[in-house]
Order: sequence, then structure tokens, then C-alpha cells
Amino acid sequence: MSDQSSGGGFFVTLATFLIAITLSQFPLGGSLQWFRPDFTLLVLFFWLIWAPSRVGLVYAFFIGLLLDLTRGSVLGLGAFSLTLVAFIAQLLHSRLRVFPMLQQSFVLMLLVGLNQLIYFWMQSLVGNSADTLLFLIPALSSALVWPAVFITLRRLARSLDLN
Amino acid sequence: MIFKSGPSRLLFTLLIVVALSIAALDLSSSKFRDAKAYLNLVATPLQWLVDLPVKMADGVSDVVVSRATLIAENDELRTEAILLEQKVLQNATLASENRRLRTLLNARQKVEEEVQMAELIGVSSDPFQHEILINRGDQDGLFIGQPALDSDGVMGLVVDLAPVTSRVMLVTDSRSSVPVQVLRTGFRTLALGSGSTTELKLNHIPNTEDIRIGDLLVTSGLGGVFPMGYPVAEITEFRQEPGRSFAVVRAKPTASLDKSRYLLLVHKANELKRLDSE
Repeated sequence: MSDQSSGGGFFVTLATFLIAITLSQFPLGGSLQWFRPDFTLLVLFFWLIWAPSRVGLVYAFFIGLLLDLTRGSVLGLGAFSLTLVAFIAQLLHSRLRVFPMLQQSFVLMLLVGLNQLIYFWMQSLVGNSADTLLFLIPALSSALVWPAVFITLRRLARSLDLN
Repeated sequence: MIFKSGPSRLLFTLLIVVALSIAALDLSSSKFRDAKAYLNLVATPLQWLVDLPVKMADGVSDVVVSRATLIAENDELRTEAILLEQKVLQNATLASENRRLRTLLNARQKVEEEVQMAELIGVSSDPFQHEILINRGDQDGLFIGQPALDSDGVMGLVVDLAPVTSRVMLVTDSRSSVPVQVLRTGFRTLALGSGSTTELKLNHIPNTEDIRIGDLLVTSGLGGVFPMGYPVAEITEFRQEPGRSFAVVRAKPTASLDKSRYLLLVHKANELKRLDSE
């Protein structure tokens, strides 16, 4: 029984990640793209809190690779930063679980900020230098949408009895 | 001991090392990048999915367009076709004249370039990376470094390949530089991407250079990537600042970088032209 539910869980989790990556690539007009929340990280953060036994570093690594391929960044870059973020989230896991949502939002903001910093840092290796700090806005917008994402995904996970 | 129940540090270190080695390989090895073209296939369905809503909206607007608009558009296209035909007629005489003059000069013949159409299916989500995704790839004979144009000018060049898609870096990307010359005077320089979608910059232009606002920049053919003679940008600003040793020069790309949905990929970025212009 538990075997079966974890098998289904794998596909549901994968589907949520695919949706997140699609959303993260969806064309947004003009300056709106600066505000795009980091959907992939939001979903990863949720599963790290919700199903730590199933979604861990290896999962983060492969989702990062897929993200790299989709957005065309240096391969391995997303894998690196998502693994690092997942590791930090795991270190904080026992605290994150009991944090109120607002505090989770705050931690998430720091993690997204870190992720963005690593991403733009490494992208500057290939010559894309960021000359403004605008790229940190997604940290704020991700923190703002976190409660909505959390509640939606929790409802999904509960209705499918996943953990 | 404290972290006994925490995450596995060994696994973490291992994954980080693997990720960084992949990144290093991707940056340094061209063989790896060839292999990556096939890995990119994994992402292709996702990229199609992203484009789907736009495609559907396009389809709907094609279906519900009114008869009157169609007639008007048809008329417009017909007039345009006649105008273009007239230009082609002129072109033919010019081309033959050009050939005769070239034989007189003992210069090599210019070879016509073959072009291939491609459709845009995605744009980069990273605001610092001006790249678009098109629906042609390795299997259609595209190659890295292939120039892409739209009907108004140079768009950019292919930087990443997958079997059925590829990525085109636009001329405004901060990594991009296009060898150009001012059409009016023949002055050669480089048009550099500024990172802003509507602007190119020209560095190291002497204050005394004869450049005017409105001058057209065309590809010079130097460097061997872009074929000669395609429009790139129009000068929008030429400012001499007394305190600086070079003028501030800005240009606006002629291609509609953020609007064009159809691109032309030039197939023979040919050697002959390069030799010619040297």
C-alpha cells in the first residue's frame, strides 16, 4: 500500500516540477519578467518540507539539470544551486516544519536570493554581466506567493494522500 | 555527531562536485557541447508546451479575422509585391553590371546565400540573456554561429543546438558584437550588445568621426560570421563629450528583435565575401 502511494507520489511530484519549469519559462512582457517568482524553487521548497524522505538532494540535482536544459544556461549550474539550496533547507528542516508560514516565507526569500546570486554570478562566467540588483526581486515575489503555493500544494498532497 | 539525523554531507559534496564538473565541461569542451545537443531534446517538449498558449492565440486570431481585414491585408500585400518586383527588376540589371565590373577588377564573384525559414517558439526568461528559441535545429542543417535575420535586418546568431530546436543570441545580448560598417562612409567598427533590447553601442569611436544620426550600419562581412551588406542598426545618438577621448555612440537595431516571429537563417556565410572585403 505504502509502496503504491509513493510510486504515485513520484509522478505527481515530477508533474508539479514540470509545471513549475514551464511557468518559469513562460514569456512575460517587458518589465514584468523581473518580478517572476522562482517557481521551481518554490515547488522544491514545498516538497523538501512535505516529503523529505522522497525529495532530497538527488531530486534537486536532476531538476536543476532539467532546468538548465530548458532555459539554456550553463549545464550543471542549476543543478549546483538547487542542490545547495536543498542542502540548506534540509539542514533547517526540523525548524522549517514548525515555522509559521510567514517565517517560512522569510527563509524562502533568503534561499531564492542565494539562488539568484549564484545564477547570475555563474552566468557572468559566460559574459552575461548583470549590472543592476533588480535580479534579486524574484526573492521578494517568491516570498509573497509562498503562502498561496504552499496551500495549493498542501491541498494537492493531502487529497492524494502523499507524503 | 550533532548532524547525525541531518542531510548526508557525503552525498551533498558528491553532487556539488559532479554539478561543477559538468559546468566546467560545458564551458570548455566542444565535444561535450555536441553531445549536449541530444540532451537538449529532453527539454524540447517543455519548450513546445510553453509556446502552446501563444500558438493557440495565434490560431484563434487567424480564424476569427474579418473578411474586410483580409481584403485590406491582401491589397496591401499585392502593392508591396509589385513594389518589390520592381526592385528585383532593378536588382537584376545592377547585379549584371556588378558582375561585369567585378570581372574588370578581377575580383571574385559573389555567391548568393541560401536562406531557410524558422519560427520563434520561445524567449529566454532571464532578462540579462537575450536569446530566443526557434523551431529548427541540427537536423535541419543548422550550425553554431549561423546568422539569423528577419525581414528588416540582422537578428543574431545560433549559439546552441538541439536536434529540432536551437537558440539564437540576439545582437543586443551583452555578449554579442557584430562587425559593421557605416553605409554612407564605409567606416568600419563593431556594434556591441548593450543588454537593453532596443540599443546597441559603438565603443572607441573618435570624436572627429563622420557619423550622423540616422546613418545605417550594415554588416561588414569581416569576422566571417555575418555575410556582408545586411542592415544591423541605425544611429540614434552621437555625442561628443569634451572630457572623454571617445564619442558616445548608440544605435537602434533595425530588426524587430522583440516582435518578429519568423526568422531567416542564412546558409552560406561564405568565405568568398570575406576574402573580397579584406
